[in-house]
Amino acid sequence: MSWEHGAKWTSALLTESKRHISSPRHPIPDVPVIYLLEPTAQNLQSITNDLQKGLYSPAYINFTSSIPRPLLEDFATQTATAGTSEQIARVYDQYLNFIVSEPDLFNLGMYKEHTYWALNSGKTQDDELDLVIDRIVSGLFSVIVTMGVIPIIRCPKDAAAEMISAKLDRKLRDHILNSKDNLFSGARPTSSTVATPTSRPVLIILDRNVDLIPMLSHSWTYQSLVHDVLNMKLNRITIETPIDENNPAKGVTKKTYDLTANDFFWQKNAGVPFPQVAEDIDAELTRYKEDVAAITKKTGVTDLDDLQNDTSASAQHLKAAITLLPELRERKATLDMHMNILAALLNGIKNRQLDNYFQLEENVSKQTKAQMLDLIKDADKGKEPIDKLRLFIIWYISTEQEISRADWNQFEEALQAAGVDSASLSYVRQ
Amino acid sequence: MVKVLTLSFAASIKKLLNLNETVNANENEEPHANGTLASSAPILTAEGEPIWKVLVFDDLGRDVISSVLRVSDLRSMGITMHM
Repeated sequence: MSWEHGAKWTSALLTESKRHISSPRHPIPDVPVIYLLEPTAQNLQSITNDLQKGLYSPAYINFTSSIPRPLLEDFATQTATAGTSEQIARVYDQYLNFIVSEPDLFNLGMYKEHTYWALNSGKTQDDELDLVIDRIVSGLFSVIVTMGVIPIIRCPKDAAAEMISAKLDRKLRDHILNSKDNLFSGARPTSSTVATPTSRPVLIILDRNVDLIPMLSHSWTYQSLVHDVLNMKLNRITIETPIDENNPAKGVTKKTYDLTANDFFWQKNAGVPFPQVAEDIDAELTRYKEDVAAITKKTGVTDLDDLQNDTSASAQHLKAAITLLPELRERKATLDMHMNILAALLNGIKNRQLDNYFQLEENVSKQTKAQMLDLIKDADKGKEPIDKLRLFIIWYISTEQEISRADWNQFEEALQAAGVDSASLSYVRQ
Repeated sequence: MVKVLTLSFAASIKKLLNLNETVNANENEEPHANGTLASSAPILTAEGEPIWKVLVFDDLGRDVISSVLRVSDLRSMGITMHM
């Protein structure tokens, strides 16, 4: 394929805008396809349908986790019946059903499963619970495979944590005993940095219930405010601004910002309290302006002496300026992005009076029943009723005062009057 | 230890996008701290031309990839389409 061919291909491919497995897709013959899917019966059917229609060929099928034997057999039967085996290049188990969102944080991407609810609700059916637990075990197994070293597992007795630990332990042991190609015996891609067998990491599995308050509290750090106030998913922030402040019917414009790990401002400020972040952005902007001024001063003709006396020196300055330019431009773009994010945050904080909630929660257990009731009834406490609910739950969990049935009813009524969906309250009371 | 996880995670994704052929272009290549791949050379045909590939994913697959790769990274790996 020549380059021109490549370019033509590219434009042909670009018209194909969606690649999601569930969306209709057009044929692009003779182009290899990479599938990255959960091993489910539905996904397998979609692959066979694609291949039968000759959408692409050859196909490299990657499953995010190890495909269960029965499904693999079904898929083999399907492939044989449909006559699509020639189009399949390889099938791989990938052990990738988890998401590394930060250098020191991963999650299992279980948005659909409502994990906390499933593990704690009395209404969850046994088979549903098994599915969720198996999914967690499979995700943790993938993390361990990717780490390339088997951890020591610790967990408290009882409840889901113990079930998960036991299943994970069994899965690891089964794998080591029964697999022909043990995933932990070969050298991993980064084997030089993998710990030696003598320093195995400890995996601690805990139930969320050990500490519920952090999920509800109004935090004051940059990162948690971004999560709370703005729409942030997978390190992408979406900010909605009304086109016309006074006329919400006109709709909103959406802007998205990607947080990357080489974002120096985010690295420095993610865990810093909001007011300090606001100070730091000012400081960084000043530093940027000074750096720019320093360069223009060194290279600009304002410095005539330099030019006359020593031309090689000015050439040097020029060269230095050119090498600095990309860094400066990137720094400016990063700072501009954070300026926009901070402005949107400030708006959100004002609308919801988050500074108030944050201060209240700092010593929430000291609040009396009457104070709490007043707070909930106060109409001037921000636009989001759910903030009141969060405050109340935190107070209820941490207070040592007796809450009688009558007190409780009063709180519930007041919250409902404030526009709160109180469905969660009966669970909290347990 | 965590660094190992992000590095291996990014390496696995990169490998699968290269049709599971090991790319030995540059062993010392340092991905950014969160595993974003700095430069990701696509595999080449025998004639030394990049192989264009189509990527199809479900919700989980999308989230897994988008946590470490941006659209421009995908393009540099020979994956030509974007949402």
